[in-house]
Amino acid sequence: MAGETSLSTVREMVLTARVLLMDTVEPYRYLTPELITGLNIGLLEARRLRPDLFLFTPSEVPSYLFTDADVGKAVPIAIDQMYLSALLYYIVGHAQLRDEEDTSDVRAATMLQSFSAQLLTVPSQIGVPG
Amino acid sequence: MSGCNSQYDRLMRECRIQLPGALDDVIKLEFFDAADEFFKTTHLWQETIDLGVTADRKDYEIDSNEWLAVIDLLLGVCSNGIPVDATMAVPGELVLRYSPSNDAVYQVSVALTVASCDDGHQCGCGNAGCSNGFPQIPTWIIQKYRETFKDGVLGRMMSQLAKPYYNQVLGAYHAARFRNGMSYARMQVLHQNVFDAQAWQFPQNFATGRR
Repeated sequence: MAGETSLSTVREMVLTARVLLMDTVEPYRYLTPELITGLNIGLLEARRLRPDLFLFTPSEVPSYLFTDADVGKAVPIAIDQMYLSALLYYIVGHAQLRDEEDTSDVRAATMLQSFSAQLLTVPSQIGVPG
Repeated sequence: MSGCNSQYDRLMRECRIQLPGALDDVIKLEFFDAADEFFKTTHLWQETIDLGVTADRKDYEIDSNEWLAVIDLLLGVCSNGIPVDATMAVPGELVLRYSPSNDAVYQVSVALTVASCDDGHQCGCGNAGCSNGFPQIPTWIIQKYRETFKDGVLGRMMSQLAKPYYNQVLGAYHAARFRNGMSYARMQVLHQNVFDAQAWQFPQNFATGRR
């Protein structure tokens, strides 16, 4: 969408997560509310790991309620843009946690580790755990 | 960044380079603490306040006339160059030892430190409604001691655990440089920024000759 920075809105975050989940064709395997739940939980985790990301609103971690009816809306995600990709990895990892396939388990763990790594350390590349 | 706080632009850019993943608000937070420690240690930020005193009254409240600042220390009180005994058990509340015999104007020299707003946002320019998150500090202090402030910020930031910019060794290094910078500033205050001058003592006049 014109003028919209990638990942900065809930809609863009969900669309990008679907690309990583290879779930871009309807009917979706991972429903939009489920991905939004992952976003909300990821924000709570970010609050736990990095309280400075919510410096002036420590008890008001943002939470989003987004349905398919909100597809056309540009709802910004209230977190510093440096850590939007970390949230993306959390959403993807959280979505894949429910799968029971071995490859999905590994990928989910990798994504969640990347989320923590991006918040706590400088290296942030996604890698396959040894 | 607002033009009224352009004096902090260079400092912020240099800090961002050395602190990957640091938020600007956190840098401003640590900058305030570093500045507070700097001024309390060096007593570099001073102001002489003209206080109108009345006969038979010993207690007065004083406050900085031009700065959004907190009075930290009482450096001295004088009346036309003559020292006056006074104390300040509570910063901002001046108590004269003896009541003035008649109305007069006393010169009260105080050391200041940075003040904070309740909501954590304030602007260095002091204009109402302007909130860039920086404390109000004279521009010349920022220009002269920018490196010292930078070391103070870096030392504090790099000592924060569980952060991408955490670095124990560099944190200690910058903290040591910050302390050295404060020592230098204290010496500069004593010499009143005059090269090879003797230490200045309130309220005597400056020495007329040099060593």
